[in-house]
Amino acid sequence: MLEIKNLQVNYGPINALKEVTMTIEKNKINAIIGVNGAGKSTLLNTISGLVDPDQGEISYKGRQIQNIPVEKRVKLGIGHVMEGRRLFKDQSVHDNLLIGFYFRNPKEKRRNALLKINEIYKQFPILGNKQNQMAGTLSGGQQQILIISAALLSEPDLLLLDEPSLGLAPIIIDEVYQLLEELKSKGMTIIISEQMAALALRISDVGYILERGQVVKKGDRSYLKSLLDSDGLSSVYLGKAKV
Amino acid sequence: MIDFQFMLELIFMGICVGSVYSLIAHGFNITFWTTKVVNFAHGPFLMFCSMLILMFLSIGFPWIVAILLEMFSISIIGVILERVSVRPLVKSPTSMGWIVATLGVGLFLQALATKIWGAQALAFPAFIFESTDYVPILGISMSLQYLLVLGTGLGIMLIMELVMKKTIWGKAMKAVSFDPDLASVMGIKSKSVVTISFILSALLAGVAGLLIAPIYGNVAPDFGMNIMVLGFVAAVLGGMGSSKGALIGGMTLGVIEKLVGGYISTSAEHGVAFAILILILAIKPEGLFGIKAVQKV
Repeated sequence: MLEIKNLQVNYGPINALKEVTMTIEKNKINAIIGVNGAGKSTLLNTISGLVDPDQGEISYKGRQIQNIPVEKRVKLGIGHVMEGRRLFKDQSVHDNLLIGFYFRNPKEKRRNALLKINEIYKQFPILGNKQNQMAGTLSGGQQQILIISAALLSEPDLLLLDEPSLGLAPIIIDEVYQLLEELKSKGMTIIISEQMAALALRISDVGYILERGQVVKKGDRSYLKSLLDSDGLSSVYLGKAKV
Repeated sequence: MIDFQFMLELIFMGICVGSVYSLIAHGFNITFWTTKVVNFAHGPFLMFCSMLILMFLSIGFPWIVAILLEMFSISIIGVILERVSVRPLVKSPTSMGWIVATLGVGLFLQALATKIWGAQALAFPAFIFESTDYVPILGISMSLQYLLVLGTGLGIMLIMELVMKKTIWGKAMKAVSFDPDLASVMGIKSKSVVTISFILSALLAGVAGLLIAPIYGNVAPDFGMNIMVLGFVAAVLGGMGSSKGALIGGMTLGVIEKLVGGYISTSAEHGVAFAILILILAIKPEGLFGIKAVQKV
């Protein structure tokens, strides 16, 4: 699905990513785990095209994409939910969904906009009830649901989520995670970044641990869980929460 | 004793001229939304448009053709300006290089106009109405030329407001101005939206040039800069980036100017405009309707 080879990103003299190599398989939830500044967001931003790599290749569905602009990658099926619940907070819930739908879909599909948005409203009635409200007035959890919904309107094959749990109440995190599992069961491939390994391992099939821009450990869920239980990894940046 | 009719006439003229300042402020706003850049070549754009119209008219084209050609030319100049002096510089958000770069393009256009058409003011013919056409309203005689300026200015701003609020393209422009990265992740070609905003802004300069030149009666290469500064004062007074601000700021400035011109001295008109600029920047830098900007240092 997605092949990353020797990816290197520098911000001036700082190496944000150093020779990152990954193979993301289809229909799996992949977790990128690491502390603040480990390079999680840079990695996701490079996959979606917001950041240009200094070196390395990214191939998606067998096609080299590192030189394709962001808005075209979106049309190829890469959806990106950025860190920090970024929304057009000065526009209404409905307009956020409309923008999310309209520009990421080919022309012939655009007339279905209202139909698709109404499906979202049916799935998440809270968004339907608040469709004319400014997106910035929603609660954190509602905003996260709105962002993910907007991303889903482009029907991505690969969904990138940058710390979707950050700043959300545990009960809302459960809701978001349940939604991700549903999406996986519909065939979507998901890459999720998390600071808390325990949290990410609840739903992910494969995990990568990122440290100062390098992948230091990778493996399936049971392997990473065993690392976590044996305290083989510093609990400081993995979190002690029980899985 | 105050002559009310005289005062009403001054206020009416002020509102009409002010609507041109509003149009210029609006032109500033459009590119400010998408790039946070104030295009200081906007005034020379306006002058260049008037000059181009004059040139096309003197070749013998009818008004409509001259206007279309001028609009087309200024759109291209707008695109070039964005490519050359804005796009390379907005990559580093803290850079203020665009001030010098856009001003540089402006001065270049002004020098180019001097080279082509000479430094002397050229007479600009009356457009649609003669400068002597009047209609009496409320006991004062209103110049049709001024009314045309007011009507066109208001009409264009109304249409733009509707486009921004109601259409998906307006929403996209708003989206790019709010968060360009998020906009591109949503599939919007942020760069194209920025380019379009510069074209729209240049077109507004073109309209403003077409409206104000017949009122001034003549155009010279430096007239763009002078009138741009007034538009800039209007934009700052109303609040940079605010549509309502541009409208009210422009008209307020126009009325104050004309009142000062009528009761004190016409040579004090512009001085008062600058005094307003200084006052606003000192007391309420976000303007009447602007949003307070907090800059992280």
